[in-house]
Amino acid sequence: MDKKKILCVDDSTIIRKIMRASIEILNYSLLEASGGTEALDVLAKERESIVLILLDLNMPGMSGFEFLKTIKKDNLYKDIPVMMVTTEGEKENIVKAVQAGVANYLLKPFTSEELTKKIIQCISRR
Amino acid sequence: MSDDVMNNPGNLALSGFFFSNAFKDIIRTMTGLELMEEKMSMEDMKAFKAQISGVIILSGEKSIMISLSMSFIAATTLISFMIGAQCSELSDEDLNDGVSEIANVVGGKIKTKMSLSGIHLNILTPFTIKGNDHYITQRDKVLLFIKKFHNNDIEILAKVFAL
Amino acid sequence: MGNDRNSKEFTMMQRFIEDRCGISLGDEKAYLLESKLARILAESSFGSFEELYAQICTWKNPDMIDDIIDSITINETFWFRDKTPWLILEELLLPMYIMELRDGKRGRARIWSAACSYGQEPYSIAMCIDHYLESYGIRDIKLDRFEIYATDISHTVLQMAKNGRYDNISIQRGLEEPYRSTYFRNEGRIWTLNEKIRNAVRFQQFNLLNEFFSFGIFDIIFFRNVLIYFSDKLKKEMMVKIKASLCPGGVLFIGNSELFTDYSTNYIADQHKNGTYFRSKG
Repeated sequence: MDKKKILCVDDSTIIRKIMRASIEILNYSLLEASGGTEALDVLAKERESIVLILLDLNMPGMSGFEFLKTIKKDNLYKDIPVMMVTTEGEKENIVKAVQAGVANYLLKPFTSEELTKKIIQCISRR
Repeated sequence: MSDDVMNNPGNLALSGFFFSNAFKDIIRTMTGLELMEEKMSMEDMKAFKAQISGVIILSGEKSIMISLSMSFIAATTLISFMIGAQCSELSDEDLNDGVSEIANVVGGKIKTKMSLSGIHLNILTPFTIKGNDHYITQRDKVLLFIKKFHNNDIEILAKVFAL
Repeated sequence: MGNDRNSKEFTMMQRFIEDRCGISLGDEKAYLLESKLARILAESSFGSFEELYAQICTWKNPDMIDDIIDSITINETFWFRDKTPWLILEELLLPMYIMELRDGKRGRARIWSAACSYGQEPYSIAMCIDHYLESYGIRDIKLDRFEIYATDISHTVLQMAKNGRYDNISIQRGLEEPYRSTYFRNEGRIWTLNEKIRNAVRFQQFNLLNEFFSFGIFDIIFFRNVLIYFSDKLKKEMMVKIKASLCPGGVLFIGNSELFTDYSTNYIADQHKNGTYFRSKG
């Protein structure tokens, strides 16, 4: 059986490489997208195998919030849990993200273990 | 140079002390490396040889620019620890992106801190400046503070400007 | 924009957290907590912190409690952190324990890693001991003569520790040769700790606010970078509890950057190679 996948949406290649460490420890495969538009393309192809989306907020082009709104309106994608991984620590942004439907959030900077822990929590609490 | 705010145009509510602790904590979390802050003179500052700098701008009712300057070797060390790769495995893109991402995270921390004082800023896309012996300069009274951090292998010069 | 940190709701949350797990949240951590609790509130069906707080007090929801605790604690992720406790272990304590084990003065040595996080500390202890025994060709005393207990308040973190799998980022934080190649199997970006070391540590979920006596008496307690979370009152209580869990002359390690000034009633402070350790007064 093919491994389940986690989609990382962040315009930083370094952040995606850090995420890969946590994802592989949990025996998932990594899918990457550098922005919201690319992420939608990846979702369209790989929807069935994606168990979680890790999503940055501040990205050029389609922002994290715009991407989130788009997928939450789509019956094909709305049930895939999304965890925000962002520098945006202000309460208002976090509340906005949760009200928009994120399952969890993680503030940068984070250690790879912390990300692993949050991924476990996200997926186990689906 | 004082640890406290050197200039505080418009009462920016950002202290050098907070910045130092936040920066060291960020580096420690992202790389596992412990940095110490050292005092420096204007002459030391001018003598610092930067080869790569990560820069972030926060804009809004106040505006702040943060630059983090270092040598290529320092950047390589930092990024190799960040992603668990050997230095020889890192590409130019890894270095450019890693340095700007560190600036991005620092900017985010400052943004959150400022919001607690009621100052809301937007964080712009971080960028990287590369080139041997470059120097990021400013007009008088715009430099908020400057700090140098180091361990055995790395030196980083952090400048915070109130624009 | 007002400053919410002094709001009644925030004070209630501070009190709740202190009651449930002893963690004292000063103003400097207030902004961390505020944003994290906002998430919990937004996720729940409650309209205010007051409602959320009232429910949490009566709720036995381990997920939410875990969430809150996970949000406000920083889990340690270094191997052989601070270096000096391991030097003290190798150069002072292990030689003494081995002699006592050989002389029949003790049956075993017991070590506790409190707030063990993802396992780096207790596994570092096990590797340190095993490496010592191997290096000195000690065949008559095996690793299983050393009982290593490791506890943490978080279920998720404990499970990660028990798995003994580490990624290529965390493996390099403080873990040097020969430990890495001796004790880990590497497959790509994943490093798996060998079974001997994994089996040498017994993990258990435990809230440090509870009484310690069920664990018995220890020769060494690692209580590092935990006290920083507690109020002054709780710190004092904790040090008394630790003393009661140490054998006479037993050793306490706290974090190298932590201060422990009023120790003299119950402990003697000793130094070895720039590292401080505290011996329980008999």
